[in-house]
Amino acid sequence: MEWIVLDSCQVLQYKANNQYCWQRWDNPSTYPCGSALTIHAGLHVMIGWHSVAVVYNCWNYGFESRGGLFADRINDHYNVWGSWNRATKQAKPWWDGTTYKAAIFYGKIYSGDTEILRYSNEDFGNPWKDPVWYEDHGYTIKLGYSSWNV
Amino acid sequence: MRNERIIFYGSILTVLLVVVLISVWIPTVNQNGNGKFEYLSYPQGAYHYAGSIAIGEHVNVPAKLKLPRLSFVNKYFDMSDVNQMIEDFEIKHPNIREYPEYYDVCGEDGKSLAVYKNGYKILFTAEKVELKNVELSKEQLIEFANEYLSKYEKYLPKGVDIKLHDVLDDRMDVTVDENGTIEEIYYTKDVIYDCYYEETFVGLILRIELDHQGNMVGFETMPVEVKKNGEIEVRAFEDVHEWMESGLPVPVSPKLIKSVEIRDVKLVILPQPASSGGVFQPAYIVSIHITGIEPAANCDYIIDIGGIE
Repeated sequence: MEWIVLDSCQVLQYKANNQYCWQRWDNPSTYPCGSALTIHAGLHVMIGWHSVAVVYNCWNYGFESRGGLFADRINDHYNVWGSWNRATKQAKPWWDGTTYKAAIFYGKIYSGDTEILRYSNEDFGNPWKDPVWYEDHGYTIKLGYSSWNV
Repeated sequence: MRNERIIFYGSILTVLLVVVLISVWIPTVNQNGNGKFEYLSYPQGAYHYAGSIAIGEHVNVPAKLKLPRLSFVNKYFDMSDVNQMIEDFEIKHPNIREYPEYYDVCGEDGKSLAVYKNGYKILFTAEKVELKNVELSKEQLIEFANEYLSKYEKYLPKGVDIKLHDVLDDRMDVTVDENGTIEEIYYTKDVIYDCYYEETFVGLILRIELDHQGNMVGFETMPVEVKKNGEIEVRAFEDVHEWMESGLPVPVSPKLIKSVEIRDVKLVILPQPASSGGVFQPAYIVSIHITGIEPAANCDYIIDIGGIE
């Protein structure tokens, strides 16, 4: 599995219990299965929410579900960041003035000081561009965390 | 024999249908006096908490109130409007897809548009943002945003006063090095506007996102025209509070909750679905703070309650 969407409240909270998102999710010592659930190993992109995720009791507003919108975007070859960004914003009825925050946690590949690839982009899932391959070939892996207002 | 089978399977289906309808209805709707309060939004996978909900000391609890009865006319968009927007939002080499409810536009330059045919939302996003911290002052950001309001005036809500609400951080981009140390954090900024009909806050959201140079990288609006046709009376929040204590959707297990407190209550007029004929209805937007038995269960969230007319 290269990436996963967790449409759950606060699952990618920037900081919780004095731990940053990457300390909670990319730390094999804190999770029994951490070695598989890390950006450096098998799972390179995690998508979810910093804030509470909200569902609307107004299905007749004409807004498709987040899952459906995300799938539409992915099928249209948007990247993961763009797909989740659009899905979260589109699925929110425009009258809801509350600001929620969606989030994405991913690996970034560096050649020296230059970022050459971030795994929120379209290259996720390509075995020839796997972070492990890059690490083996002298590149540096850094972690990226992005959030945005919804 | 065939008729018996039909009756047998029909009965099972009817029972299942009733069970499903009750399970959907019970958590969200409750009869109370003349009102029919309803949670319009709730946290994903919410639990139901029945118990005491304190009201914070500084909360202004709304009493029974008369408000203008508002309606709106929404503009329906077709492909020619979308082509005009592509030009207005300067999207290069657009790929346009038509879905049943909206048009999706994606440009080669990373700019995209979602345009709802019923006019309920126009959403513009520029994905490729030069990530640098916004060092412009709040006043400068507001000035840039106001210029964009003028530029895109034809897409703004009509018949309402548009007032500045706030300037907030929006897109955050963090880089963490191999040792787990934060190397860089960048933000874009949101300039948020509120819409008012006379003194009544109308839930029409208007947002402009700016990058470090003041370029517009996000825009969200709904271009309806608001009109007044009468008055409505809104239930006091006291009644709603009593109803909330019978079953509040909460994002954490009630077993982990130490206390629940209302931190703010805002009265807003919300537009209803297009199928309702373009009417607004009042709703309470309630800010809730949960204190957990452990800090990890602490949580702030907002819940919208309708059916208060």
